[in-house]
Amino acid sequence: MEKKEFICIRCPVGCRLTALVVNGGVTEVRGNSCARGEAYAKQEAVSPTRTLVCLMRARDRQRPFSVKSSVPVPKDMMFRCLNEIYACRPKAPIREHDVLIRNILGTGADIIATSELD
Amino acid sequence: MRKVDLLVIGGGSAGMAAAISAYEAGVRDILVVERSGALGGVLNQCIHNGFGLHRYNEELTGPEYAKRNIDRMKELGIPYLLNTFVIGLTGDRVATVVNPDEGQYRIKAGAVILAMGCRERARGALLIPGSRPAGILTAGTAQRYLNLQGYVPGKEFVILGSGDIGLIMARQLVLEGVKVKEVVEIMPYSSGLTRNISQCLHDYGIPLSLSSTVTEIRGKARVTSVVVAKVDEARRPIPGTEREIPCDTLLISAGLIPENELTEQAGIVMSKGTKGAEVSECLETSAEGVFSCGNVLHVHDLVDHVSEEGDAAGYHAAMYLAGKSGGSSKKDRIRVLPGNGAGTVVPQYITRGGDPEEEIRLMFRPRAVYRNAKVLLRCGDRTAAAKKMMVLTPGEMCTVTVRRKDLGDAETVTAEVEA
Amino acid sequence: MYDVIVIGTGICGAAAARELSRYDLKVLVLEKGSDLCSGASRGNSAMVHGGFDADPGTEKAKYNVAGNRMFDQLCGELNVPFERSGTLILATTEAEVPELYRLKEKSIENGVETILMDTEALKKRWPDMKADAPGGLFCPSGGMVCPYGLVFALCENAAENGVEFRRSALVTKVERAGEAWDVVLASGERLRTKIVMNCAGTHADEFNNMVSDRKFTIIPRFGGHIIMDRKYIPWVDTTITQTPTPLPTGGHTKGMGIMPSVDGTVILGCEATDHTDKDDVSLPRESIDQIVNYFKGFWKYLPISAASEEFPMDGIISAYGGLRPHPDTDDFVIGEAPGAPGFINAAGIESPGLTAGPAIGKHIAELAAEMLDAAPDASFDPVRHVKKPFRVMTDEERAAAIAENPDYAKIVCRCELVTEAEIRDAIRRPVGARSVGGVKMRTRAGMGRCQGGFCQNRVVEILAEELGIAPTEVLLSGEGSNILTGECCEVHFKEAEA
Repeated sequence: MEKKEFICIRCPVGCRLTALVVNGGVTEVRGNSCARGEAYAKQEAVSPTRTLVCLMRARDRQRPFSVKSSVPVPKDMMFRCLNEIYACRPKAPIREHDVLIRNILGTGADIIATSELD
Repeated sequence: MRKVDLLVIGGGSAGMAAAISAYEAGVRDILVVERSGALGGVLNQCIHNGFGLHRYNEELTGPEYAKRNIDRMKELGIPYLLNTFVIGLTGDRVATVVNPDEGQYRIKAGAVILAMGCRERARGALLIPGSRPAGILTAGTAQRYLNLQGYVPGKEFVILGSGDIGLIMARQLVLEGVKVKEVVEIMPYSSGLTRNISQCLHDYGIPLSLSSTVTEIRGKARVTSVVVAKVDEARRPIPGTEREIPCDTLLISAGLIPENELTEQAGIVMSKGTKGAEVSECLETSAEGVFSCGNVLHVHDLVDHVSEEGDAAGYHAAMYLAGKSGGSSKKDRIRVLPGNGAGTVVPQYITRGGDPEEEIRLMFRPRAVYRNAKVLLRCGDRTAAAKKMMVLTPGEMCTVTVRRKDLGDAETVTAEVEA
Repeated sequence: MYDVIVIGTGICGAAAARELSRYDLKVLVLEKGSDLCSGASRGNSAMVHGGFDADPGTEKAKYNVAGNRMFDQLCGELNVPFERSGTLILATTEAEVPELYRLKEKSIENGVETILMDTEALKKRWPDMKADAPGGLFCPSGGMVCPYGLVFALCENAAENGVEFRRSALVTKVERAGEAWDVVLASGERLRTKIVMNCAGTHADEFNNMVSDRKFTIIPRFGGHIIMDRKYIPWVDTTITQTPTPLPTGGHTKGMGIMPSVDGTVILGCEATDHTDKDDVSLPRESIDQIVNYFKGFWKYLPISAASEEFPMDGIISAYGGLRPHPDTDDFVIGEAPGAPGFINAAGIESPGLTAGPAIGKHIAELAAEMLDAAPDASFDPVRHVKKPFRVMTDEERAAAIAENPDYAKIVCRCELVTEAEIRDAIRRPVGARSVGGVKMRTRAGMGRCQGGFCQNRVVEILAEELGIAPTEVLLSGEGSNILTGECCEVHFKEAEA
């Protein structure tokens, strides 16, 4: 059995949560004040995910544009995803919602533009 | 001299919300003046998400949130000028503006909305002793180098200040391969949102040192290290607790200051607490027909609240132009004061004689962290309004509403925290 | 071979260079810093002293008084802001009053007008003073200048009139070469000249002692200053200082003062502490504390107390320090060094150095011209041709400037209202800016309340364009002070691949 502790990020209260993990499954969550916190703990303790937000460069442009993952990606794959993102140099112009990388590294998340570049 | 019904100074979140709201309330002759080359304000450089949860029920990045407003501005055809600086403002609403296409000229406005936002507190104002090498910059400046210009301003960072901007930059820098060694915070608690502490520091193993500050910067051409010491209750460094941290950059995220140079120039009464203008519940300043909203009025934590405030300012400016209100500073009014547990409160005045059923919104910043507390609006011994809050923190402004009639005959109403 | 090599571009070197350019001479000026004016002439209180308090009969007294008189014409020709705003020595205790009388006596001997003022007179002239001061001594000929502005202007004018300048040129040795002198640089390069002018600030003793029998020592004396927001300037119309305090090592300090800078900010300072490092101008915590604590007490006697009841910590926008070269002779060392013909000193130029500088420069330049039997240069133009800063232009002047150059309508520094036109000009001018710091010193961009937070991004871009370099090569000041270290989206996380 493993005890995992972290701060809940679902609302400003920031409850200090403890999740008990047995055989890769969460058996108990303590410290939450609501159901959202419980759900967060269950995910975070076993397979934490993060929405990736970062910059991307277009070919022949100094000014970058910003991108995000359409859905959260596994936390332990973030840096590999970044390598892919930084290696990607699409051609301008870039418009909001453009899909730059589809299903990045098999995570099911697309990398989409959140700002524009002419 | 040109004339315009409504002049909005600042094309960021507050200014755009105000312009759109004024338009929707019937004003057509509007001009939004923006000093940079694009509308959107500081959100253009905030590529992280977390904006719009309240307003749009979505988690948007800064540019996405800004685009919603920019698209609406364009849809409504609201006129705006870019690369245009307002370099002067008088109390009777004459603005001096300058841009490369038109040169310098004056505009007489029927109403003005001040939406100039904030600047950051700099190293000079913090009086950090030591040398002045390259590698000292504020979080916003670093954010612009990175997100607007595509350059990284250092390799090994120490961040002074655990406010949200510093925390967000910590994460962004890590994602750019930069080493962030430590975040140093002078208070015994962080002023940033807990979620940012978790997602920006804990996630990357970046230590947070509370009750600490940078006491010296070392380095000749470039920063080579900073000295960090613990501080006492009076926030003075404790001798003997110094330790040196090698780094090449000190990122300063030590607070925002509303940019009210124009406001002061116009002779408008300022609040020492908020460093913004004193306003009535209509967000009207001491100068008739001049309204204020957003970060220039008081520093906000959520852009959703900035937009809400812009909505209100635009609406009230529209009412003023239609002859339905205005001149708050001359009316009989109730003074609003921050009491026990409250740092600053906006608005500073509530006019009497308005609709008694009107729900008046007050925003205040808690002085400390409180759990399971009650926020009270007290008129003398009487409690005019109460609100239960599970948690109150200086990092998040609190809203409380009260009906005008519940204020009664009171001269003052005090916003306070009952722990 | 050069006719004259000037070592140092502080006020003396700069003034000498400009005076030398009146003659038909081959002149080279060497500055060890990456930009002009890297020493005491940059980090001082900007005061132009009346000259009443110098000891009569000294070089300090002589050159202070002579220099003071030159400022109107000089600053007019060079287009440098100068204000004769006066100096008030304020006694805050009865015990200080005799000192005022002593200074009055000195001023008479020095031929400088001063006016004794009692409590009534002080209150009448400055009704905003909250507390009653027992008395004061006012000197109408005192004033304020932009010290580095003056140095840059002198150098530009000298350059326009044919003087050669080299920055990042550290002199390591001066030695006799027959009838001439060899000035040796750190790079090893040897430069031959007939005359050497030693204006090397805190290092002037080192050069003198290499060549002359009469040796002296320079002790770097540190002084810190604080700059306050320009919104306080309406309450600061004259310099007010405390009565001078005696120093443990002898002599007196000028005392702490509050000064109205010609740029519209308010300067507070400075104390005096002897240091050992001749170049380190890092501001120690003690310096800042000393100034703040002093002014917290002094505050009520000052008209500025009407703007803010107590000393406003949030009104501080910056602080800086400077190292004055204090000579162990206690007086300026000026003239040809004994045993070293053609080696001219302008050394130990501590306070009242800034004021004395133009007169000293003129004197040593004339000395050199005489030694060389130099002919006047007919093409010498004393006027530095430069446009007013946009910030101080009238509406009509602004309209004209914008019509001629639309870059005047592009505001880069919001706090100080500096336009793109002025920034580009500062880079293009003779001995112009080569760094963010250089742009700052010449235009004030980055000197305002946000200290470059808003404008630095754009200044870096403009410098990169003008100098034809990548933004990552743009420096804050000297070599190694690159502001940007790389480009975004370039990192590859190796650990991630594991």
